[in-house]
Formats: sequence, structure tokens, C-alpha cells
Amino acid sequence: MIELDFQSGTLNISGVKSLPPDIAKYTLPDERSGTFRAKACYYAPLVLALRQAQIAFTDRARNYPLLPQLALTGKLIPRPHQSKALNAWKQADCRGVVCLPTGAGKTILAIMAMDYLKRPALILVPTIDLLTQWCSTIERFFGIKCGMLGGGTRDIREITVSTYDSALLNMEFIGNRFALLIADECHHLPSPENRLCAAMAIAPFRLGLTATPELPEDYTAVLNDMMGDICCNIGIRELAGKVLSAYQVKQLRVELSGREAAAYQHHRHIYTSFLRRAAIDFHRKNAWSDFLIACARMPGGKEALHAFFAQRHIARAGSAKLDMIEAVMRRHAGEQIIIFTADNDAAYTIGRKFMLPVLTHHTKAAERKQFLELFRQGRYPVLVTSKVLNEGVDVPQASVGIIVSGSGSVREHVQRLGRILRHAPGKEQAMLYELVSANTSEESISARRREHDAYQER
Amino acid sequence: MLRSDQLLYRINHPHIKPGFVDPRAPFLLDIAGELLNIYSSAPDSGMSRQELEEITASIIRSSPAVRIAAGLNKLLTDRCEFAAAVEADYPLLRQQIFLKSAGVLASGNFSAETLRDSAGVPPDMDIYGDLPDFEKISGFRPITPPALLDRYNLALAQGLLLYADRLTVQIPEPENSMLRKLLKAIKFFRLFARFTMLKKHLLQIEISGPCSIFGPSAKYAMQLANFFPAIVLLPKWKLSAVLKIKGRMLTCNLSHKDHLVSHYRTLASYIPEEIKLFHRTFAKKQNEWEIVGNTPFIDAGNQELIFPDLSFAGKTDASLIHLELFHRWHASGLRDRIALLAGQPELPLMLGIDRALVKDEADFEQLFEACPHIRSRCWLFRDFPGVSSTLKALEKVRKNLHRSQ
Repeated sequence: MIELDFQSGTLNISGVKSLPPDIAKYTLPDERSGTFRAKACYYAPLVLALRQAQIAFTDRARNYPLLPQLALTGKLIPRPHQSKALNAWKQADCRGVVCLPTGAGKTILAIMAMDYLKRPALILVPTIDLLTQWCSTIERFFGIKCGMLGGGTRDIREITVSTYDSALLNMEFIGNRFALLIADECHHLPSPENRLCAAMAIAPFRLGLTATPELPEDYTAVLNDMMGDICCNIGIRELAGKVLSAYQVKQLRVELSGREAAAYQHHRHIYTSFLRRAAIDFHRKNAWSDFLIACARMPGGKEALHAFFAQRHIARAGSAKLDMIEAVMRRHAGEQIIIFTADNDAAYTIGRKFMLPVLTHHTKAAERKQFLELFRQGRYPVLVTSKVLNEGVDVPQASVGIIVSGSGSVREHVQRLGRILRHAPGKEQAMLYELVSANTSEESISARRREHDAYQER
Repeated sequence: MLRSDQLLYRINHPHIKPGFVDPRAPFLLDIAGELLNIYSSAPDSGMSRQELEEITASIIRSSPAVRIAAGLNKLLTDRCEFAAAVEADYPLLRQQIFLKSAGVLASGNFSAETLRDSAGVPPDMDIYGDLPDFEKISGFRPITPPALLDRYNLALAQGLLLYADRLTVQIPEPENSMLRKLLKAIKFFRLFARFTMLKKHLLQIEISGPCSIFGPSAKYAMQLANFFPAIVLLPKWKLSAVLKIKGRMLTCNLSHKDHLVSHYRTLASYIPEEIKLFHRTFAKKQNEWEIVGNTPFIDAGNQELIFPDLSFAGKTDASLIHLELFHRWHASGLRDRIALLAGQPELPLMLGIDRALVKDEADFEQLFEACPHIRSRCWLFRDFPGVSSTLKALEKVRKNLHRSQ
């Protein structure tokens, strides 16, 4: 008889010398063990194919129970778009990606999915902040202790939240213990490492959640293979002013001071001349490492590297930008403001200058929690961050965002906008400022990241 | 480990070779020595991470071999321990400052100066003085300059293996005890191995991760790279790995002739505390059995080599019984072993099974449904088996084996 085992994140199919084509298409012969092997994520189609072919098999792979006792502690009244999304996902056999804007209640949708299936679930999240946020939401809605995997904790329970990084390390041991796999911010999932989290899990039911589904073609194919196709896609504009706050985006061009402008041109010239000499083209793959190698090997390389950082620092956090930040903070005194920067240096420069809390990956867990709590309570009116607040973290009180600097990534900027879009009592309109140093490379970077419907000035 | 930009290699398509250095080259020993002097004195001098980086950066920049110096520096940084600069309770201090500045910010009537003044922060105080840059070096694991260069060569090879998804190793005249350690290392790093005897005295082992058959992935690269020093421990070996670097498929061939030195040497003699305790209690508690020092492996046929965790020799008879332990991560291996033992009951082998592998007693009993005759060979333990239960099982197995002979 065929025996199906979960083995280190794979399915081992033993007790058989050959398999019918409908089943064999999910497997490969493994000479190392003299068996057939399949990706764990093909557990559901494999089992279905075996059943359809009426082939007897022993299933030792699946190691999760049903959870009939899993129930909400109170009544959950879903918003219409959440019901619509859940229905679409159910119609897709509980396997698909739901695209909802930040603040539209993706976590609640996941709670509804867990309540519907009543089976063990593993939720993947990209950051520690999201890990704790998801755990407390699950505990609040189900009244159970939620498992945590990540940030130094390894407590695996029937409903467990894990960072992608920790899941990757542990999936070979726990990949058969969950029926439902939820990938939050699932645009992270197709990266070569993260995709293994989903590939090494047998979970037949899968829910991907994202506000920014735009991905390169090959990554989209991976996401569809691992989580299912997009089954529901609701944009920011559909919900703005209803479920989400109304918002306005304003670009502020900042003129560099005479001294800074001269210094910028000087460093920029050294840097770009070197790029030409070294034939580095940043449109090509691996250009950054080619640049670093050229800096180490070619004459003038060290100066070019120094010039690169110097011109970038002036454009990103020159004194004119600091003055502008001060002006915006004054204009919005009494409101909750998040200041975003591209790098930690700029974040700490702002924090030191204006005596502000700065949240970066250097911030230790206890202080990070304290910053967010005091900000939510309104006792800290301003929070400065580089990238850790880009995604997911729930700070509905924030009504003003100031983007001091950032990358050209559309995703990053839509996510940053999302931070200030959540509805909160008394919040009428969210305001997002983008500071751009005039006549610097920031202008083209800004143009690139604004290529999204949600990010146009209205 | 070295960062990718610190790797040195030569490509002669389709081959790639790490740019090994001569560990006896005086100028390299000088660089290593100069860096080591700084690192050795850093913990006592209370140097911060930033200060250390500044000082070593100047040595690296002025060195005749910048990339090698940068690589050596990385390996030395990995040997450091850092402690937070704890002269002040920065989080508490910051909370007091931010709560004060919050009031001023809310008024809308402020400047950078008034914010600092109202929060009572002296002009020379850095409110983020506890960032990693300011961490102090609290410890450094010493190493000699030649050993550092040996470690560097090994790290160059390991760095390239981070681009591999499998290794093929050929071992001429494989010697049991070394092979056993190698196999244990394979098990430890949760890798899969496929054994083939190419010739009478030439063993080939293909090592990869369970998922590797589905295509190249970096999932096991770190495990393979960490496993590599176990190969270097062998007296004679040849390794071949296909690497994907910048879209090109390249073959990396290494062997004992590269004179690499493994830093796992001491690990071979490391005995975990629970095993030491087991040995002591076992000797104290009874006089019938003794634990065999160098456990031999059992060739069960079909390329199946069993490397027991412990072997016991009867003091009064010629009994030799092996014990193999199955922990929580050996679920599938356990079933295979039970099937093998059911087919070859004459094997002098007993199995200790971690309770984490079976749900309950019924689940345990179910394992032997098809082969009740080997039920007495197996028993359950939690974390590590106790001496009494091991002795009980030993006696049962001895009786069974005698009966069948």
C-alpha cells in the first residue's frame, strides 16, 4: 500500500514502484531514498488524485486535528467588502489571494476564514511588530492563547503566528501541523527563500493577503502556485472616505541651500564620472555589487564611494528638509504624525534634532512596544521611522505622514500611505507629504514611486 | 562566514576556485597580526564598535591586500561579543525627554532648540547614545595569525558553497570512525546522503537537502556550508559542487590537496552533558554491561549504514547490542528502521524512541502492528533515555537474540 509521509518539508511516497501519470505529475523519483517525493504544498492535489484513482493509501503526512471548539468570543459583524472577500475565497475552494488596501481589515478577514474552517492555522508575517499585533488580535477574537514563532519565541499552538524567517527555519518540522496557511503581506512570499515556507507546508487551505499585489511575472506565478490566484481585489479608491479615511497627497519641493547645492553637485559629479568610467549601468542586474567591486579595484574608487554617500545624504536629509519637517510639524500641531526616511541615519538625525522617538530595527522590543503604545495613546505626537513601519503595523491615530526620503518602490509608498489611512474617531482627512530635494536625483526617484493610482495628488 | 563581496575566487569557465591564500605568507601574517592586536586589546580598552570599525578600516585601507584584510576583519568581528553601553538607562531617559517634548510639539510653537531646552537635554548629550555603534566589545575568542589565515581559506570555500544546492564527495579507503562522524554530521545538519561504492575502496556520497530534487534552492546552502568543515576532517577527500553565480553554472572542485584546516576538530571530542551523565550512571548502576568506546557502524545492506548512538558489550558473554535513538525530527527514519528490523530481526539493534514522536501509548503500539516480534526492541524516552529502561531493554534483546540463535 502507498504510504504518504511528511519528511523534512517534503512528501515521501513509499510502498510503490510506479505511479499513474495523474499522480506522478506531482512527484519525482528520489534515488536517495528509493521512494517518490513531492513538494509538501502538493499534498491536497496529491491526496485528491489518489482518491480519484481509487488507490488505497496510508496518510501519515497530515498531523493536524479539526478544531470544532474554535469559536469567536463575541459576534463579529463583517463589513460588506470583508464578506465579499470571504465569499470569493470560499468559492475558490479556500485557496487564493485577497487584495485589500491597508486599513480595510485584512486581519478580520483572516479571523473570519479561521472561524469558517475551524482547523489549525499558521499565519506568516514579515515583521516582529506584526507578529505581536496578529497574536493579540487572535487572542482577542477567539479567547485562546496564540502560538508565536519568531523574535526569540518558539511556542507552537493550533493557531500560530510566525515571521517568514522563523517559518523558513522551522517548516521542515511543523509543515504538516496546519490545515490553513495565511500569508500576510504575501507579496513577500515569492522571494526565493520565503517561497519555501509555503512549499514546505502541506496546508490544503491557503489565504494570501496583500495591499500591493503588483509583482514581476515570475513572482506572480510563484504566488499563484503557492497560495492560489487572486480571488478578490478591492482598491484604495473604492474604500476611501468610507472604510478608509479620505486623504490628500502633497509633494513639497525643497530647494537645497547654496552651500549644500554646491556640495551636492561636486559629489554627484565625482560619483557619476566614476560610473561612466567603470561602465556601471544601474538598470542592469547586480549593478550595485559591480559598483562596489569597481570601487575597490579602480583608481578613484574610494573617492567615488564616498561621493555617492555624500550626495545621497544631502539629497535625503539636507538642512532644508529638516527646516521643512519643522514647518510641517508646526502646521499639524496636535495631530499624530509619522515621519518616514529611507535610512536609519536620516531617522536618527531627525530624532536627535527634534527630540523625537525613532523606531528602527535597532529599537529593542520593549522600547518599540512602548513607542507604539504611547503614540497610539497620543502621548507621543510624532514618530520617526526608517522602514519598520512601512507595512502592516496598526496606528490608526496617525493622520499625517511625512516622507522625507524613500526608494523608487511603488509598493513602499503605497504601504506608507496605508499607515495613515485607517479610520479613527475624529479623523477627517489624512495628509501625506512627500519632501523632494529640487534638482537632485530624488526627483526621478519620486516620479518612479508615484506610478500608482492611489499615490496621485487629488 | 564571509560576505559575498569579500569572497575571492578565480573563474576559468566552467570551473571556479576559491582564491586561497598562503597561510605562511609573511605579509599576510603581518596583516592578520596587526588586526589581531587590535581585537585582542579591544575588550580591555573598552573600545566601542564604531571605534573598532574606524581603527580597523584604516588598517584595511592601507593594507597591500584590501579584500583579504576585509575578510580577515570580518572573521575577527564574528569572534567578538558586544555589550550595550549601559552607563545610563537610555530607554527611561528617552521616555522622560519625549514626554516633555511632546507637550511643546503639541503647542505648535517650537524650534529644535526650544525642544531640546524644554526637555532638559544638555547640548553635548546624544539621546541615542546606546545604538549598536556605541556598543562596547566585551569579549573576543582568541586565535593565532596562522590559524586565522587557515580559517580564512576555509571561509572562502564555505562562502562559495553558499551558492551550491548539493555536494558530491569521493572518499578513498573510507575509514569507519571518520565515516561515522561524517554521517553524524550529515544527520546533524539535516541533510540527505546517497552512497555509491564507485570502486572497491572509493565511496561516493552525494549530499543534498530533502527539497533539493525539486530544483536548486538556497535553503540548504548554509547547512551545506556548515557541513563542509566535517569533510575537511577526512584524511583524503575530493569534493565537487555546481554553483550558480551571477547566472552562470560553475563547478567548484576541492580536495585534501588544498590543505584546508577544519575548525571542527575539537567538536569531534565534544560529548554532550546528558551523554556524559548517562555513561557515569550506567557504570555506577550495574556490572553486566559496558559501553563500547568507538561504536562501529552496522552495514544493513542496500546502502543502509546504521550508525548507532551507543553500543553495549556484555562483560560475561560476547553480546554486542547497539542502540539507536530516534528524536522528534526522525519520524520517517523511525518507520524505515522498524521495517528494516522487522525484515532483519537478527540485527543486534534496539531503538529508543522520543515520546515527542508518538502521540500516546496506542500510537506507539500501532508502530508494531505488522511486526509484533520486534516490539520488545523498542521503548519510549523523554529527551534522553534513562539507564534503567536501557538496561531492561538490553536484557530483553539479549534473551531474544540468544533464543533465535
